[in-house]
Amino acid sequence: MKYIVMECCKGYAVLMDEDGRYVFAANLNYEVGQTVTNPVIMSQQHKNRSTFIKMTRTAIAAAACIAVIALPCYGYYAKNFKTCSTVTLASDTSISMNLNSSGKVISLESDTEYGEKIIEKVDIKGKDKVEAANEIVQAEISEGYISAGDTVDVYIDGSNSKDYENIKSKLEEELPKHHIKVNIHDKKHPAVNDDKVKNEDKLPHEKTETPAPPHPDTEADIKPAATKPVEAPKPPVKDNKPIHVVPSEPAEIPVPPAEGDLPPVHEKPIKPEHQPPSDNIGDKDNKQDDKPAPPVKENVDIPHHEKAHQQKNTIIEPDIVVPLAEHPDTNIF
Amino acid sequence: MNSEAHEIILRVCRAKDDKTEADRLISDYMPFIKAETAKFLNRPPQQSDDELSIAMFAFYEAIRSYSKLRGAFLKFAALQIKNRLIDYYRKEKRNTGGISLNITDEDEKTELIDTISDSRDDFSENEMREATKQEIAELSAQMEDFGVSFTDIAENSPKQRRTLEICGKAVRYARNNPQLLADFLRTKRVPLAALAEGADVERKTLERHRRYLVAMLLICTNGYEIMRGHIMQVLKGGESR
Repeated sequence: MKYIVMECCKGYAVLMDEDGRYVFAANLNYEVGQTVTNPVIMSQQHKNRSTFIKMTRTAIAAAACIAVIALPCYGYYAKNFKTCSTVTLASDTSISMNLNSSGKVISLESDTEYGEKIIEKVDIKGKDKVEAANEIVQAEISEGYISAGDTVDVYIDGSNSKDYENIKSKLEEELPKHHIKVNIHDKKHPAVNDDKVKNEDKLPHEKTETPAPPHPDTEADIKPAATKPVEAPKPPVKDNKPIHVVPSEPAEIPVPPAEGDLPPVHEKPIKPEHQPPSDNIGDKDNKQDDKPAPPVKENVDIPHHEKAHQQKNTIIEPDIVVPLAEHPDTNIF
Repeated sequence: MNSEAHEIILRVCRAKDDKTEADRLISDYMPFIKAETAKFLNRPPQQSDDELSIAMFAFYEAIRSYSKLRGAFLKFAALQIKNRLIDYYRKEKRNTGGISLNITDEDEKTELIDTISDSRDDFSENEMREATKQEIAELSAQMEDFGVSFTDIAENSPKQRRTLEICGKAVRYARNNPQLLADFLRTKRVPLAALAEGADVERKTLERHRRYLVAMLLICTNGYEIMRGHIMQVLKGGESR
């Protein structure tokens, strides 16, 4: 870059470069009008540097002030006012308690009118979770929403497993003092808990998942049933021999009734208690008339209501009503 | 703080804006500047030494950049001089390792500089320098009518490339519109509105560099051929390296 010396002073010279920029430079015995190539130019950083330093210092100070004020405020807020876990007492009132990290009640919520009434009655904001739960249960008992011996489901939505365990253990200790049963569930894993509950509620023989036998209500249902179902009920015999069910009483072959004895069309025919033994049970080739047999359980201790249910099912099945098979009105089924 | 130190600070503050006061301050403190240079050179500096010029320039820089927060002025100026001289020596050190042109040949006893053919024409060069000097003197005189000096222009000159380009755009627009330059010479006022509108640039940017624009617009008028040739890249719209 070439510079023209425009002005010479005692301590400096003013030069003009080829870009039209005027600069201060050391006057190395220059003369006005001289063209120079390598001058010692004054650095332009002094003003900028001081401004930059001032701005940087101000920005750092402001950021530090904000951090000093904001961090403790956020810590206080997070500890006292931020909902850390929720405990829901799922009775008729369905009251939810929002707890902070130290287990104190921040607020109460309810979706029901009864719950709102209870919330209006109790004053438990800021109290410990156990104390609050006790007061709510006490209020519900006094209002008659819960009575002694009732079961109350409690759902805990904790921020972590420690919270859940802590709240669970304390509630399990305290709430039974009101003579109520308490079922505590983790709201974060409802699927697992629900399955557990379902299994617990079921009778022992129902816990295994056995598919229901096919229910041939219509002809359309019969045909696909003839094809090999994936989980068709199998007889309890291990070898593939056909099952011979021996009835307790000798089978009576029903006599076709006279026309006058026939039941009206809209009435369902009464099925005999026991089906006569058939050699074709389990034979898959004869599918037109033979429907897949329901699983036969022998010598199994079936509860009374199950028996009644089975009998009911047996009665409404039209396929095994032999006397009506040849009747011209049978197709009404 | 004694009265002498207080007086120096007052003079420095005045010299910041006053060129003649700065020259006077430099002249008054010349022994101090020479002493600082001598500390660095380990010998008394000559008037023709570049180091002394650098030291004087560093003293002037110290005047311009001094503030009361920086402590005593003379200590600050001494530090500035030392740093500048160190920078200068580092810069010069890059050029060392070459052969000096003043080395004499043992057989013929002639200096190396005498064996190299000189293609420069000293006569025409001097003539060119005189012509340039004359142009600069004319320009300086014309600028006085506008109330600006080269020192003012150097202080007001754009530093950033983008700003320089904006000012160059305005100058090019004025050069292509002789009527605008004529009005500028007649009214002795920079037509900022017309330049901003015609060159499609920010008027505020032009206002900040009004004194710089005065010099550049004057160069664009008749009579400054050499300087126009020097900044031809700017006037044509290109960029030098």
